[in-house]
Amino acid sequence: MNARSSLDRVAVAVGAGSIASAGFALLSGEFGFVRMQGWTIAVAIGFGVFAVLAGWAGHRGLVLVVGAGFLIASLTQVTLWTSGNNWLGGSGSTASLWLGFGTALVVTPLAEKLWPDR
Amino acid sequence: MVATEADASADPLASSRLSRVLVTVTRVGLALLWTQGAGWKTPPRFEALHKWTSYAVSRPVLEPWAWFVDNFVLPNFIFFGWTTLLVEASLGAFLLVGLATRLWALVGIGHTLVITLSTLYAPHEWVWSYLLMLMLHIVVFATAAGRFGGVDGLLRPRWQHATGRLARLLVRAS
Repeated sequence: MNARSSLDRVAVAVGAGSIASAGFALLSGEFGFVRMQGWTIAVAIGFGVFAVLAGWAGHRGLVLVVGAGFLIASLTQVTLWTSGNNWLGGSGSTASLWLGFGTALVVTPLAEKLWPDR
Repeated sequence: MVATEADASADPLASSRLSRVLVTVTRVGLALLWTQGAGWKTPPRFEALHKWTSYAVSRPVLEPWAWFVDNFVLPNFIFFGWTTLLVEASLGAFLLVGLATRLWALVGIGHTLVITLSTLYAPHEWVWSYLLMLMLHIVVFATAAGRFGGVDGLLRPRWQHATGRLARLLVRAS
């Protein structure tokens, strides 16, 4: 396994994690660790599928775009939650999850340029 | 000192895939604790957080902390509410993907102490839940848990060979 494929696998793993996170929509109460309802489910699955495909294809630019998308979605979720017009449907937990996914997807494609493998 | 094969086999994290998976599960579980916590710090007024923070004053654990909360935190609560939300959402995010994990484990230790000093004597609280939370962060720090199934594990070798200040900081943080 070379470094290139490892970086790409992060996108596949994060994408799969995002798709799986939609499953939190089925949980509530004590085990509802992340609020998933309404449009947040579509975001989690949609961005997750894009991340998996981008990682699978080894398309670092697309991985970066999906990562930026997660970060924007996280910020948007907090803004809507604050405004009281939370049509996206998530909460701080959703924003936290997407912050993590977005950060991982932004950092790993940039790693090749910032810290080249020696 | 020369590392021997016996040394390697004595290290369960080096020799056991199961141990590495369990460390990963522990880190992700801890991340979800903070992720869920970020879910009820509701801006812009943070009412529920205000109620819990007030226990630091009404049921003090440590008098100087109670004084600090009474005179600085509660009068400026919107600022502290946003700070809490940012810290907890970041703890959830970075521990989840295992990036700068040791740094965030330290942040988690600090934040756990703050929570403990505020709510330990709140009604129906269990002292061991706070101690367990504290010890779990210590374990994540001690095992450098992001190096197993995390971004730290993937990028740390690059950071170690890079020359920039950011790379050096990330080596220490991971």
